[in-house]
Amino acid sequence: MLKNYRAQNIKEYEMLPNPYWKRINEEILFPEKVLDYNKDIIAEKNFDNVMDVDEELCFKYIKYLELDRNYGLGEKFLRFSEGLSNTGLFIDIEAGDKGNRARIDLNIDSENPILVDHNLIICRENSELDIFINYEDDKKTNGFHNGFTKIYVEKGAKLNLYKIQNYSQEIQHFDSSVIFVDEDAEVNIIDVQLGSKLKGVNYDVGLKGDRSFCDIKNVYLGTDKDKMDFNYDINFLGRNSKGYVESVGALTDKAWKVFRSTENFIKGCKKSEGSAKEYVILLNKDVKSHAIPALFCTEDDVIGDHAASAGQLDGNKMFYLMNRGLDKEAAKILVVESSFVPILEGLPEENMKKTIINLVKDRLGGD
Amino acid sequence: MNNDLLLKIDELKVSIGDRNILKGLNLEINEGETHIIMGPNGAGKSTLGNVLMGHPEYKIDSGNIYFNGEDINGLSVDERAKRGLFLSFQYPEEISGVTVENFLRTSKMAVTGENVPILEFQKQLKEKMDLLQIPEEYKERYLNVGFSGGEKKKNEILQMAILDPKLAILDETDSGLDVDAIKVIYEGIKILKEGKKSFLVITHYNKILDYLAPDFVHILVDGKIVETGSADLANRIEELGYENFKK
Repeated sequence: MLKNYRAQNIKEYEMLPNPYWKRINEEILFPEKVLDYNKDIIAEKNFDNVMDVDEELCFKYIKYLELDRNYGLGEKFLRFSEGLSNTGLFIDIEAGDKGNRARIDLNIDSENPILVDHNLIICRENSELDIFINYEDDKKTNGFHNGFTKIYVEKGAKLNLYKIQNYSQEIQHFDSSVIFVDEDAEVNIIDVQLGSKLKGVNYDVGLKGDRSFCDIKNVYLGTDKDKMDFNYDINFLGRNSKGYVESVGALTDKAWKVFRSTENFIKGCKKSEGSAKEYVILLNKDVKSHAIPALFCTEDDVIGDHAASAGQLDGNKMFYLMNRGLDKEAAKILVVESSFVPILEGLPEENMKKTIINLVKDRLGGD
Repeated sequence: MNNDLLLKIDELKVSIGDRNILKGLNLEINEGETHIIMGPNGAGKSTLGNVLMGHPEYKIDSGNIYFNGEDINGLSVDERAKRGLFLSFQYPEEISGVTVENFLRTSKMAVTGENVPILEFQKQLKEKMDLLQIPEEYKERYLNVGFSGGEKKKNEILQMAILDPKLAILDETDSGLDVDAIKVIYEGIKILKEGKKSFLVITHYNKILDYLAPDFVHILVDGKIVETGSADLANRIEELGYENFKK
């Protein structure tokens, strides 16, 4: 079954043209050959039901793997992971099982320059899971990452997902996540995107059940000639469902960013509520920033709003901070830090926040 | 230059856009002196504070500012702060994500150029917060975020106390505050006014005279200092208003 599943996806992948992302004027080139990935990606876990993907497992979980439509960054990316993944995890948390926690390292080095992961996470009824995913590299390898994760959060379950992507400029990074949230289930995501010269990140959330909840928070940084495309879609299906997206970023040098977010209120999702907000600080006049928020609605009894704003460094804020002895660079970094911290406060560990702030300072050229 | 002379402003003309605001202002402040600048709305009082700190929106058309004998016209804002100038803002900025304590320690290190050991700093911070009757938990709050008007002004004076400048410019620190808050702030300043620290206090009210004995009171009208005198001058303003000083 695995062979068939993968073989079919490889066939489809090979027939698809390379995507051209016109907004950032970039054709995405995939590696000609996917080499083996020989690193253990589980850094830490306190539960057992994590499985390496094999044929039998794919057969068992086929109804979760085969989706009704294309999600994520696009067909080529999805088929690539589904057909040619060289690592990945299936996590199946039993009903009612709480306190589960795992740390996953999706790292790239000269021995493992190509990382293609395909993951399945199922949180059964009333279970709870915290997952931390770190993306690092050896800072000298020209690498490529493409990931596709399918997530099912069943009735009353709760998933907290934290991603910190700190690849160097040598890495291309593409990450697609599709998330289905059942009745009374909850998903909280903090996604920190600091590195990678070319990155695409996509979340597609289906709030299927009544009172389902999803909160996605994103922090990003663009430096040098980084190009990035972020997409956050929330589909409201259940009644009283709540879905929120908040994205805060800073762009400097010649970085180029596209932010998209679509709230789709589907008939029947009465009393649902959603919002999508993006705020970006433009640190340099040569950066490019596109924001494309959208709202579709076929149900009238809902509340939805979106907002996107881009601003230069606030001159009065800079004057205030420099008045207190901070030079221009230090004041600039503090303004960026100040905009990121309210989101980073949501991380469960104080040292994660500090680490990220230090990485931001490093990348912006601070001490 | 005189050894005691801290600030000398010489025929300063300043504009913003095509509007002339300061039109030939002269002022000298010696070490340890307290000067009060009073004047009607739009006279250029806040402009003076901003220009002394090097606000980039204001253009110096002519004239010079000397601080400790050095011409500081070309210095950046932070360089002026490092030399001992401090401006207490009329409308302090809110900086979310940065706590009062972290900001003050960062500023202290930036101004002095030296590492400030954390325990020593915390002790100093507690002393100053007690003096200004600021509850200890405020040091963990984000800078000025959610602070009332009075709390923001107190926080400005706390920053002044920690950074220990040579010349503190207080821009309408008393505006918008109730009598109790003014009392706490000015009593705090009174205690902090020690040794050679000098003050340039920009105000609408002569309430400050109850707490600080100024060496000089200046009346600023239409971009120029039109009269200089003692504390009595402030009392005359209270009685007669500014009309008599407008030509």
